[in-house]
Amino acid sequence: MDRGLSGTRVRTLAIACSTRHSAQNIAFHELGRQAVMADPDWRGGRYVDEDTHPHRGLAVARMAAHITYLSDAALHRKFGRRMQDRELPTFSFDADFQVESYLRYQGSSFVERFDANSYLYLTRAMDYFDIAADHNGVLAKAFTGIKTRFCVVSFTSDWLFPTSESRALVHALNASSARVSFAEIETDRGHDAFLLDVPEFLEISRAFLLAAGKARGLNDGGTQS
Amino acid sequence: MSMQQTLPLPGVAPERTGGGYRRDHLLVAEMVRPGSRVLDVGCGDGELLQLLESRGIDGRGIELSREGVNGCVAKGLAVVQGDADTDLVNYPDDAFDYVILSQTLQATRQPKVVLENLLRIGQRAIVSFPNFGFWKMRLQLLIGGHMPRTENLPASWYDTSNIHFCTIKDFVELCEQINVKMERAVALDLYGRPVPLNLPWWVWNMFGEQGVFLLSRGSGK
Repeated sequence: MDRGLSGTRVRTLAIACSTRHSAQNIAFHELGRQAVMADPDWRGGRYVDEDTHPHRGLAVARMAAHITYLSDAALHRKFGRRMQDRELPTFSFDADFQVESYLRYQGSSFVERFDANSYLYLTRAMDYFDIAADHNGVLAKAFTGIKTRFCVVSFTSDWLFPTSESRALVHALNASSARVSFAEIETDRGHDAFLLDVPEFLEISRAFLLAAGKARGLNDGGTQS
Repeated sequence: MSMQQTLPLPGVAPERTGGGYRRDHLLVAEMVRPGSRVLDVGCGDGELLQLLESRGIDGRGIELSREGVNGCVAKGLAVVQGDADTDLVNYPDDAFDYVILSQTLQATRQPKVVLENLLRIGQRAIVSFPNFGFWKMRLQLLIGGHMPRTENLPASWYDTSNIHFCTIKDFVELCEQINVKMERAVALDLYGRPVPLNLPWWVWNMFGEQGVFLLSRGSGK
């Protein structure tokens, strides 16, 4: 988001984003950080020295975060109440349901590629992100005289960075006479829709990029899907 | 009794194009001073915005339909998905030189509030709308006894998005009521040609298929 604020010939495609971290965003990050720090293997952050890894805490953090990338409808469509490799519940705390198994997998694969302390610092840095705060609380001031062209896209089922956040950005851009387009895409796939094959989203992204290319005299031939 | 859907009267198949652009769009574009900033509310596929930008006018749009927004973005236009009824309040005062509402007023839930917002956001407003006092409309109701449907407004009463029809006379009365100054008024006939200026209002209200008005804020009374 910050990158879009500079440059005269820059074009910014802002997908499922926000100009600040909301209370709910911070709340979920805090949940993740507490999970990491509650793992005895975190060792006050000195786990490398002590040759341990707070894998369990980091996996829980990722599981919680992963839920925020999806939506109620997407989870239900994907897993429903289906059982994992069994017909009947075991009445234990084993992963009886497919959704549990899926989340555990998401958690355990994440710890292989992400450092726990980096997770703490990265989420913390994101929590402090608030463009308006750097401009006396007036978001529109951040965009005064901006030449960048914006295309803002949000997804109906995104509860991590909901459409209302995108609209706030669009209103601020409009108030400062920036050139901005905006579309809300209907999908039940939550925040993660930006990674997925959502035709309407791909269509508008393609249109915006092609228009940008055309403005620079680039040929749009050969880009047909 | 079998009632015909459209009356067998002359004046069908309107030829509304002129040089590739719709005649009403050309008329609107002609009302806008070059170099100004324009917001087109309900900009559809962006045809009018394209015409304006080709004349060196800085245009922005609001459009309800996603297909419309997609098409506009593909044309390199700056168009925001939104609703005239709910989203105009978010625009600051005097943000634009002109705000255009082309063939959309009759589809808004609160035409009066929308009109007031147009003239808050823009120094001037250009509003065009289908005239429900057009003779074909009157005849369909009078003779046919059913809600009028025309070439340009083919939807039935139960599935039309046009919920607030008015006549040119009604519109003029509203402008007077909310202290809006009419700088220019043009009635276009079924072919998109202006009804001659020297004719009285009742002729406009009868033979104008649509009205196009250039409005500004009245002197504060």
